[in-house]
Amino acid sequence: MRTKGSSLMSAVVGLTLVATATMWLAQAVAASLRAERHARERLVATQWLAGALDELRATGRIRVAPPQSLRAARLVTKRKSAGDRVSQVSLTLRWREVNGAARQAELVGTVTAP
Amino acid sequence: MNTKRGAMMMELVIAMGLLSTVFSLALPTYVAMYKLQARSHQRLERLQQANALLRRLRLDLQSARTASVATNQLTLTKPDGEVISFVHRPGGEVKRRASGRTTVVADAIPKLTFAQPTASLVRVTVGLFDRPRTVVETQVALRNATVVGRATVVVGRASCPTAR
Repeated sequence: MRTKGSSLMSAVVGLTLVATATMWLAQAVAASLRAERHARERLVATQWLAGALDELRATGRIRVAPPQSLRAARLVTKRKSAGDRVSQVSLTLRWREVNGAARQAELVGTVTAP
Repeated sequence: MNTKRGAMMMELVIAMGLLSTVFSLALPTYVAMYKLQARSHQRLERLQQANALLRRLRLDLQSARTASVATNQLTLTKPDGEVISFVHRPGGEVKRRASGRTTVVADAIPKLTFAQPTASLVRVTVGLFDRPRTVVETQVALRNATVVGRATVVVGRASCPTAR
């Protein structure tokens, strides 16, 4: 009886230790993967927006398609203010995360007519 | 006395057996998690390298007067005549040459290509990972170029029908 009880106790303690360690490790890995995904999406979005603004400045149009690596990516452009030659333009890139959460990045810049 | 000793020994053997079974089952999970985290760190470092490289390229392109583009090579001429070139090597190394000095600006960029849609616009594409497929694409206008773009500013909505 005593043997059974002590062995069971050892197994329970061991399992608890393993479960706790696994949980901590899993949380650390999940946080690392999340940070990587956010960094990747942010880099893709901000670089694409900077490129779109430069294309708008150089050619007057944005022809380049929103990045394929962002889910359901779409661009919304707004003219915030317009002067005789200088217009302030806001470019917003919206996309969805893997879990469906909406994300966006915005870039505001001026466009000068020659 | 003898019975108690035997019982303690048995108890110890069973406990050790149970613990070793539990740990041997958990070990592959730990190894897999460790590898996953190490890969994640490596990818984050690659993202940072790409960010630094694109910032360097943007600064040089914006100050250039002309640009000459090959698939994996970019040559820029500044208004003062200085020539700057970027070359991407198959191993992932990106070298920048300016004023006779060559520096390695990145060493883990799998794909880097240049294109020139218009005379004053250079498109830079950086391929980072295959899974998930990650391509960073940007365009830079040469601010000192003599070619000036059109005046029309198109404002509206744009969507990507092929994006998932």
